[in-house]
Amino acid sequence: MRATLRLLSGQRQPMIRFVGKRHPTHHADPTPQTHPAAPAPLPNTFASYRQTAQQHGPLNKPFHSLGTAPAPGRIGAQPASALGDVRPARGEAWDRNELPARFRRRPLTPAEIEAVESGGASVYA
Amino acid sequence: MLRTLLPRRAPARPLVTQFGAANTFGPSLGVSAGQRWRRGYASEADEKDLVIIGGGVAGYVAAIKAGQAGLKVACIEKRGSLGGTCLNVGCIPSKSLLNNSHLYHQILHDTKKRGIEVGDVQLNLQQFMKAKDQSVEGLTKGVEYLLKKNGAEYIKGAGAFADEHTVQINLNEGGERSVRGKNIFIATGSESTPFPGLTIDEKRVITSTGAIALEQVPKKMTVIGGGIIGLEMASVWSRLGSEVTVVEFLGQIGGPGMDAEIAKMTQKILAKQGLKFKLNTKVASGDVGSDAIDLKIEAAKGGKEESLDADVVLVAIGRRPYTAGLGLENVGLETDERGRLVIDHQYRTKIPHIRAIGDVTFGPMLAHKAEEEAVAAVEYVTKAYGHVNYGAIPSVMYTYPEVAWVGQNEAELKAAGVKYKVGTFPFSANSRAKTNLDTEGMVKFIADAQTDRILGIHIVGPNAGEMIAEGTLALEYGASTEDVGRTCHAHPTLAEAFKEAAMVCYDKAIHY
Repeated sequence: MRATLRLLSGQRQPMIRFVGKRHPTHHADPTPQTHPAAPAPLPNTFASYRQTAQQHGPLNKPFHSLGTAPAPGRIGAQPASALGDVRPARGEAWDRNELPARFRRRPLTPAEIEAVESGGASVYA
Repeated sequence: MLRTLLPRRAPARPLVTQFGAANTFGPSLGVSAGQRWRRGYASEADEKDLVIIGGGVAGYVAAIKAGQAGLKVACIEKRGSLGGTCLNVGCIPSKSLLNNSHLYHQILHDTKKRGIEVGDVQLNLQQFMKAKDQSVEGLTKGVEYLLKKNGAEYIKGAGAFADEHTVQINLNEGGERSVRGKNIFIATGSESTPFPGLTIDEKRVITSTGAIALEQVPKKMTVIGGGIIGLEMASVWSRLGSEVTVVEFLGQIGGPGMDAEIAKMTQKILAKQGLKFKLNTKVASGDVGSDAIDLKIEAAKGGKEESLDADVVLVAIGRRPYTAGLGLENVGLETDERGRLVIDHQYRTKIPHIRAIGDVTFGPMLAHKAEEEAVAAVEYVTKAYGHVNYGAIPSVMYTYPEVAWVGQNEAELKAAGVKYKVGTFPFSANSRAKTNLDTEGMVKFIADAQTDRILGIHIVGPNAGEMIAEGTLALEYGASTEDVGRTCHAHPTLAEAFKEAAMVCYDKAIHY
C-alpha cells in the first residue's frame, strides 16, 4: 500500500528551478513604478489613490456616508446631480452676484480705482 | 559669395541613441565633414555617457560596470580615495580592528584550555591601527586601479549640479572643472546621524569614524545605540580593555531585522564577554566635562533619571543620507522626510536621466545592497533591464560570534499573518564547532507552514557571515528547507549545522 502511494506520488521535486541564462527583456515597461524598497508604496492608479487619500476626511467617500450629519451647503454633502441644472431655465438669466464668490467680480483696490480715474498716470507717479 | 549668405547649419551628426538618451547638449568643438569648425563655447565641458557623483561602493562599482559596458564614464569623489565610507572609515577598517582585537582577546583569555601557554601579551595600539590603515590603503588603491583598467575617469573633487546635465567640480588640487553627462548617478552615500545635545569632536564624543581611530584605549566607554555599528565597535574596545556600556532605546539589540530570539541569545553571549547593556533606555542629555562625559539616562517610557559617566561616548544611532553641497536645488530634486532621494524602480529620480543608488536613497544602508544597485542601474541604462531582490539582502554583524540573517524574522511574519514553521540547530551539537571549542550560537530556519519554502534564515555563531551566503542563495532561488536538507554538506564543517537546522524544519535532525 505504502509502496503504491510512493509510486503514485513519484519522486520528490525540488522547489529550486533552473532559470537558465538571463536575457534582457526587450519589452521591459519603462513607465515609472514604485521602488520596491520605498517606505510607503505609491498607488499605481488614481482610483487606488482615492481609496486611501485623505482630505477633510476620506476622499473616496461622500460626507453623508461617514455617519456624520451632512452640513447644508457643504462641499460633497450632495451629489452634483442633485444640485440641479448648471444652466438657467429658458428665458431666465442669472446675476453674476448669485454665483459662488470665486466667480464674482473682484472688488477694485483703491490703487486700481486711482489708476482708472487718472488714466493710468498714477501708476507712474 | 552666395555661400556666405546661406544660413549656417551645423554639420549633420548622428545622435547617440545607443543608451536610450539622445544627445541633447549644445554645440561642441569638432571638425565637420567640410573641415569647418563648428560654432562652440570657449570653455566647453567634457561630455560623458555617465557621470557618477560619489566614489563609494555604489559609485565605483557603477563606474567599473559602466566602463565594462563601453560607456564613457567619470566618477567624482571628494575624499581623495575611492571606496567611500565602507572602505575608508566603515566596514573594512572595522573588520581589521574586529579581527585583530578578537585575536588579542583570545590570546589573553582563550588559550590555556587549548593547551597553549602564552607569556606576556602586550597591545601595541599604534601598530594595531597601522595594520588597519594598510588594509584600507591596499584596497582603495586597488579600486583606483580597477577604475583605470576599465577606462573610467576618476576626478578628485566635490561635484555639484550646475544644471540637469552638467556637474561643476571643485577640484581637490584647486581650480574648477565641469563635466556633462547624458546620464548622472547620485551615489553620495550617508553620514552618521548626530545626537542632539552632543557635539561630535571625534576624540571624546565620536561616531564610527572616530571609533576606528582612537589613540588610546578609553577606560570607560558608552555607546549610544545597540545596532550593528554600535555593537561591533563596543566589542572592539571592550576586548582591548575598555569598560563598555551600550544604551539602547528599544527592547532588543541588533536593530531592525534581527530576530528577537537571536538578539536575546546574542545579548547573553556579549554580556558574558563583558559588555553591559541598558535596553529600553534613552539618553536625556549629555554634559562634556574636562575629565569625563556625563550622560543622563532614563527609561524609554519615562522614569527615574540615572547618570552614566564615560571617557568616550560613541554615537551610533544610525546614518542619514548625505546630499549636502550637491546642488539638488539647481535641478529641482527634493528629498523625502528622512533626506532620501525619491526614486522609481529603475532608480530614476523625477529627472529620468538622473538616478540615485546606495545609501542616499531607499532600502537598507548596506554596502552589498549599494553594489547590487550600482550594477542594476548601469544595466537599466545600457540594457533597459536590471534586477535587485530586496527580499534577499543579507545582514551581518561581525561581533564574536557573528550574527547573520536574511529574509523575514518571526515578528514580521506574525505581523503579516503568515503561517510558518521554525527549525533550529545549536552549534553545541555540531562536530566542527566542538573541535574548535566554539560552540555558542545556533542556526534558525523559518519556512512557510504549507509549502516549506524558506522565508528567513537567522544565524548566531562562528562563521555566520560566510554561512548566510548559502541561505541567501536558497532564498533567491525559492528553495524549500527540504532542498537544503537534502543537499550534501561536507563533514566536519560548521555548515552541517545549517543543513541540520533545515532538516529540523521539515523533519528531524540527525545529531540533535
